[in-house]
Amino acid sequence: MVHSYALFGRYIAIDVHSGAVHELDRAAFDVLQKGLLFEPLNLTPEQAEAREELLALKEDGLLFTEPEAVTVNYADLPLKALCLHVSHDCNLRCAYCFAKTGDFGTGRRLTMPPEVAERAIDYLLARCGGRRNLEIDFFGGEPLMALDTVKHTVTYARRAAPDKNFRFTLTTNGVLLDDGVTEYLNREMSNVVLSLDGRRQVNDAARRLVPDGGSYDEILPKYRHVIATRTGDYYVRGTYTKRNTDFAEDIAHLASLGFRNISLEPAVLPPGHPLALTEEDVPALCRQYELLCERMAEDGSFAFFHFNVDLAQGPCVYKRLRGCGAGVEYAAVTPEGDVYPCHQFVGREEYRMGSVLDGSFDKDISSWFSDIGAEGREDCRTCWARFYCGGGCAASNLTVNGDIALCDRLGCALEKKRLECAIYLKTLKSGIY
Amino acid sequence: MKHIKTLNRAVLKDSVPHGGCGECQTSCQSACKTSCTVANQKCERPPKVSGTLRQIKQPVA
Ligand code: SF4
Ligand code: SF4
Ligand code: SF4
Repeated sequence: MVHSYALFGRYIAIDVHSGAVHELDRAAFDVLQKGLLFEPLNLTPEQAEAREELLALKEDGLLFTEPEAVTVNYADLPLKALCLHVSHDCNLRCAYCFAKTGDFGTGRRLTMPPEVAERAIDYLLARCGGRRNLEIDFFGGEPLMALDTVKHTVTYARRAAPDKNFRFTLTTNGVLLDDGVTEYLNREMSNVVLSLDGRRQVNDAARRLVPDGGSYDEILPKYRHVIATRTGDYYVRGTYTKRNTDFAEDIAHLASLGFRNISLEPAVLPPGHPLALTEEDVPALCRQYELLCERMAEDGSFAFFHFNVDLAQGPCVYKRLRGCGAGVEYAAVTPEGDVYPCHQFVGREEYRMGSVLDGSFDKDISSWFSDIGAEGREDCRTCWARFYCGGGCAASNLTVNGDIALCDRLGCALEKKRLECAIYLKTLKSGIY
Repeated sequence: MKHIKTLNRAVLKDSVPHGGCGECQTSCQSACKTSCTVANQKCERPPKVSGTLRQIKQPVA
């Protein structure tokens, strides 16, 4: 399978199964697009020459490569990453919150007790097999509302398994950051994810303080302090909705504030929600990724999460087929110790997989997820993007289509556009033109 | 080649015999928490043994 496309006057071909990427001139592009490679009718001399080159690539295993028989023993993979919901409470009220203001719709605002956090670490250590790199993300609600549990967990994990390489990350809304907290996070967290949606009016329309008020002015100075004093990784991460379908402006705004690593994600909301994006928005949203791409072609000062595709040194084919790992390599733990396939499934009772308190882990539920990697979903099997995308998001599929295996078409359209832009940016240094 | 520049070779195919160690980061832990992209994750196998690194041939001139 070959995916070829034109963007900003450049022509690109991706050989899906080998992973080879080629930049073409117009003649070679026309040969591919018009099917002249296999039916060489009325070729111009240029096209005939380009066709010979394309055939040589095919001969070399770099174009129209057959799929490799790869066995991914997905079901047997050990657990290696936990999202710890240390607080099911929050000090913001965001309009699109999938955690339903922190308590995930349970009506109970809870903090994870240190003993439950210890059991979660024990649970991970019992299930991680030989994996050396283990990941713990502190999440919520707002995890800084349970900072004591966070600190306790870090100390406990390092003591319990000094031979493992724990990577701690924390996702925060910023409200509780002060100098002491920042210093702690900069010391202990390998990555911090700082939530902010972009322009003040956009952020403040969605991310509201309690009891009321915009959060932008309150948190921006705190984030600036974090990045000014930090050597580890960070991301400033926002959400866009129906209200800001001109979100490239929000990314530009975040870059203008001095943030270097930026991620902005489409809100995943049930159909009918007033802020939900719909398929009619796709052309406008794709245009925004193009505008962002044009800007980044000129301005190399910041990175956008989804454009960070490394063509030559990216992940192996197994990783690409396994995708996000939810329910298999990755799971979320609630303040009560319940285990769910990932942070977005928390509170959906039918997906409760077990408990860190009794060590249970439901293999059947896990197999629903291991069966649907990028090779298991029908849409993905025929999709050119599957080795870059990894098979999409089971949680969005469930929210939008009521089935973890039915791809969220809107999400797919955006993912493909992002990938085309990301690969385009890689061609800028190639020098064919 | 005059009409085509190869940006990278068969990195996926070349990773088949060597990949799958599982030591790299889970994608939703790294930033987005809502949607999946795997190609932006870093492979963590040291270059000496990594299939995604070691067998890349020189791009076509
Ligand atoms: S670290 Fe590299 S080789 Fe190992 S699973 Fe991840 S991408 Fe594959
Ligand atoms: S873009 Fe959609 S269809 Fe393609 S691999 Fe990703 S989830 Fe599957
Ligand atoms: S199902 Fe979606 S939200 Fe959950 S880990 Fe996978 S990509 Fe992330």
